[in-house]
Amino acid sequence: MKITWKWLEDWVDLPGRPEDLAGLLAMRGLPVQSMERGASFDPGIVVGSVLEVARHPDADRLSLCTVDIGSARLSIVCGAPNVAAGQRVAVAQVGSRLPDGTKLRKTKIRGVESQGMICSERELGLSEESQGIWAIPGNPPVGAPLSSVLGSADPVIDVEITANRTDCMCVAGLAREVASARGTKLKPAAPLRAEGPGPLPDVAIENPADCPRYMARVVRGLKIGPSPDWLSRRLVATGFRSINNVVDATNYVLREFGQPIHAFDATKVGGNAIRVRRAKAGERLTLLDGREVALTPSHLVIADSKVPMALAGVMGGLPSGVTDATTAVVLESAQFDPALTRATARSLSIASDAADRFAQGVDPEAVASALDATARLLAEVAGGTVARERIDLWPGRTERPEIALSLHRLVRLLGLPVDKDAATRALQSLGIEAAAPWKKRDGDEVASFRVPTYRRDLEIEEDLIEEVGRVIGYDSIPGRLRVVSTGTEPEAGSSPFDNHIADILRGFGFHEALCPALVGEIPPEARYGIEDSEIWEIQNPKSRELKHLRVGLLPGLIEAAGRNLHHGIREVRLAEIGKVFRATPPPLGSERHEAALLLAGQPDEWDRPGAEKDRYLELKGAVEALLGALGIDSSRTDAYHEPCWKPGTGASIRASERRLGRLGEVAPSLASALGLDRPAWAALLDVAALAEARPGKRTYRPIPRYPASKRDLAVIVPTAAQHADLEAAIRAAGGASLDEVRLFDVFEGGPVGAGKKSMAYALEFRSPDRTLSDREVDGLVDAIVRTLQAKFGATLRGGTPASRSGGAPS
Amino acid sequence: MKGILKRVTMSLITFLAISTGVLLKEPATSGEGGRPAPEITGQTWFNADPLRMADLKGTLEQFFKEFFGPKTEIRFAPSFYPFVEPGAVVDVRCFFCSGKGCSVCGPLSGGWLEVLGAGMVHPNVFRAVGYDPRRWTGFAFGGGIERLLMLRHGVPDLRLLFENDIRFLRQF
Repeated sequence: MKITWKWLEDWVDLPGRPEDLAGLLAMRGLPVQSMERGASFDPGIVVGSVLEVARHPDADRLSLCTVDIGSARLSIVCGAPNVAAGQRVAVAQVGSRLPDGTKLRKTKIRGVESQGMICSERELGLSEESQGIWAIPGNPPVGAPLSSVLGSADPVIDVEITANRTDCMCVAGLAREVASARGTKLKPAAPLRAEGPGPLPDVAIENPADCPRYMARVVRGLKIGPSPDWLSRRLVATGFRSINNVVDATNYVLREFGQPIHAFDATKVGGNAIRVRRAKAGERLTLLDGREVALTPSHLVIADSKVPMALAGVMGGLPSGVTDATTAVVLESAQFDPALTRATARSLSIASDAADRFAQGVDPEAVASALDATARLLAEVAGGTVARERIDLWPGRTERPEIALSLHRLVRLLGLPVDKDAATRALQSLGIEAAAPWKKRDGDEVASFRVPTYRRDLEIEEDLIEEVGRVIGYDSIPGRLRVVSTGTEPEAGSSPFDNHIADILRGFGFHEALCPALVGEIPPEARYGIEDSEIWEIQNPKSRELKHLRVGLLPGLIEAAGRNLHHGIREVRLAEIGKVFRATPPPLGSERHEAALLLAGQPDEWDRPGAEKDRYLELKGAVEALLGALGIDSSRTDAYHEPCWKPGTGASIRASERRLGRLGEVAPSLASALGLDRPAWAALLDVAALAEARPGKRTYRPIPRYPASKRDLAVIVPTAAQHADLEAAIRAAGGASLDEVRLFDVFEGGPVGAGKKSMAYALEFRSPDRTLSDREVDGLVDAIVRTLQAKFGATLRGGTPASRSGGAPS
Repeated sequence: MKGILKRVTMSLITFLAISTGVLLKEPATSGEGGRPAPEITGQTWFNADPLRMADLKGTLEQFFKEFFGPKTEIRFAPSFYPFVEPGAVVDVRCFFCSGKGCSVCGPLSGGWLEVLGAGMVHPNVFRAVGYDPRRWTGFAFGGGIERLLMLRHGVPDLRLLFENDIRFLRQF
C-alpha cells in the first residue's frame, strides 16, 4: 500500500532516515517494498522560469512566451490564459515524453515555432482536470528535472501488507505501528469546528445486522472546485486520481482511515430522510458510473423517503451524487455487513474500493473519526460550514473481545523469558488493554486482554503471543538447537532411484537438464499416441507457453539442444529424469517418471562428413551401459516405429518381455518444429520399468575354471537384418557352451555391396567342467553359420572364422 | 501431508517430516509467474517437551550455517501465513554485500535476503488432523529451493536454471 512520507509524518514522528523507517516496519512484519522519491517524469521535463509573455502575432488567444530553462531560452507558444512572467513552470522540451506517452515534437502553431510545451497538471498526470498551466509553487531551481523537484518534496512509500493486517491498509494503521515501535504516541488530530446550523436528515436502519453503525454529518455552503496542490498530489502519489475537492476529500479519508465515505447532495435527499433498507423488487438505480441496475431484496440500499439513492457500501447513485452545482452535502460514514457487501458487489459485477473495504470489514470506531476528519477537511478545502450535530446510530455495537493469556504458554511458545509487566507493556503499546490483571492460577499466571476494534485478526492466545514477540522483537528470541534421534522413513517415491540414474548418466558425460513441466502446444509427433483429452490443460493459463502439463521429456530436450547448438556448443549430451503427466484415469490423472537421453551435434574428433550417423550406436551404447550399470543384463532392441522417430530408426528396448523404453533418431519435422535443425538421437526410458527390471540382489556365479575358446565371425547380411535377431539366432545355434556374443564391427558399402552390411561378432565358447576342444568349437561355429545362412541369407566374409589368440580364462 | 499424519501413532513423541517437490500452481510471490516452483517444506511436531520458537530459530540457524557457511547470520521478522502462529519470515545476511545493501538484497532491506517462511504450527492445523493442540506443539518452514540454490552458488538469474545451457550445466 502506498503512502507518502509527509502524510505519515502528519500522524507520528518518524526516524530521520528512510532506511530506518523501512527497517523498523520490516521488524513489525510490514516490509517496505519501495520508496520512490515522488512521481517520476521524463528527464526532459524541467523547471522553467517565464521571462516574458507576448501576444502571438497571429492569434488572440495564444501567447508567445520566453522561458529560461537554465541551459537555454526557449520560445514557447502557450494557450493558457493564466501564464504570466515570473512564474515557475514545468517545461516539456522537444523530444521528451509526457506521462501519457505523447512525445513532444517541434511544431509551428499559427506560423510560429514552439520549442516545447508549458504543462498543465492534467498533462503531467497530477490531476484529472486543471485550468491553465501549472504554476509550480515555491521557488524550485530553474533547469532542475521536474522529478527531482516533485520527488524531493515527499517520498512515496510502498508497504507490503499481509492478508491478516487489513488494519494497516491506511495511514492511521501504519502510524499506530510506527508509534508502538518508537514508543511514542500519535499526534493529535486537528480539531473539528462544527458550528453550523441543522437540520439533520432523519435516519433509520431497517436491520441492524445489515448495518451495525451509520453516521452522518451535513456540510453546507461549500464550493465544488479543484483540490489544493497538497491534497491532489498526495492522492496522485498514492494511486488515486484527483477529481474535485469533495471527491478528493472522501478518497483522502479512505486512504487515511481505511473507511469509505460517501457524499450525497443534501438537496437531493428526498424528505430529508435516509433509510438503510433492503431494496424492493422492481426498484432501479442509476449508479455514479452511469449503469442502471435492477435491484432485489438481496441488495442493501441507502434510500431517501421514496427511492434508493445508493447501493450501500458499493457505489453511489447518479441522481443523488455531488455535481458542480452542489453546495451542501450529507456525508455518510457507516459499517456494512461484509458478506452482504461482497455479495451485492459480485451479483451486480461492480468493483469499487469501497466494496473491497466493506467486504474486509471496517473498524466501527473509525467510522466516527473518519466522518469528523472528512467534515474538517471539506471545510478546509471546499469552504463549507459543518452542522453542529451529527447522526450516530450504532445498533450493532458489540463488546471488544477479550483474550486470556497465560504467561507460561507465552514463555513456552516463544522460548523467550518475558515477565508479565513486559508482556503487558508490549500489548498496551498496540492498544491492547489489560481487561483483568494478572492472577496466579495452578502455578501459572493468567491475564485477560481487550482487543481494539481495528484488530479483528487477533482471536486466540497464540495471536497475542505473536504480538508480544513482535513488539519485543523476534531478534531477542535465542536460537536453541534441539537434537532428537529418530528413525527416518523416506517417502515411497523413486527419487533416490532417479538420482542414481542421473549419476550414472553424468558418468557417461551427459549433462543433467531440467525442463519446465508446463509447456505450450505439444507437437503431434511427441504425443506418443496420447489423445488430446488425456493431456492436462491449464485453465486460464498465464501464457500460451504454460498451457499443458508435459506428456514426455523429448520436446524440452530438443529445444534445449537447439538453443545450445545455436550458442555454438558443438556437442550436446543431455539427460533429464523427471515427471510426465496424463489426465487419465480421472479425476486425478497419473504421473510417471521418465528418463530421457539426447545426443546432437558432434564432437570435434568426429568432424567428418557422415560421422553423425555413428551417434545412433553411441546412444544405444549409452542405453545398454546404463542398463548394465543398473544390473539389467539382457535387453534387446526391436524395430518399433513411432511418429517421434525418423522412419526406420525407431526401436523399442525390452528386457524379458517388459518394455523399458524406446530410442531412435528424432523425426526431422519434430526437431525443426522445436528449433533444432540438426539430426538428434534420443532414448526415452520408463523409470518404473527400469526399477522393476532391476534384479533384486546379485547372486554369485562361479568364476570359470576352464579357458574360453574365442572365434571372430564376420557375416554379410541384408541391411534390414537386426543385430538382436542375429544375436538370438547365434545363441540358439551355439547352445549352452556359447558364453558370450559381442558385436564389434558393422559397416556398409565398398566391397560389401549395395543393400548389404557386414556384421562382425566376437564369440566365446566355454564349458564349466572341461576345456573345449577345437573340433567341438569349430562344429558349433559351423552350426551358427548354417543357421545364419538359412535365416538371414548370410554369407561368410573373409573365409573361415578366425581363431583368436589366447586361450586363458578371461 | 495429511496422509502421512494418519500413520503417526499417538505413542510417538517426535514427528519430523521434510519434503521437496515441484509446485505446479502459479507461485503468487514469484515475479516469474506460472513457472513450476520447486519447494521444500519441513515440519517437526512434538507431544512431549513442547517446541518453542527458539527451537525453530536454532534449527534453521544450524541448517543455514551448514548450507551457506559457518558465518551465516539469520534473522526472524514477523510475517503471516495462515497455518502458523506466530509466523516469521527468515532472512539471511546478504553475502553479496555483507549486509551493506546492494542490488541483490535491495536498498531498503538493511542487507537482508528473504529465504524462507516459518512459524509455530497453528492450533487449527493440529485440530484439522485430530491432534490436541494443548498436547502438541510444532514448527514448520518452507520456501523455494531455487532461491536457496541461487544464493548458495551466486546464480544471478532464475532463468539460468531452466534454460539447460551446457555452459551453465557443466559448472555444476
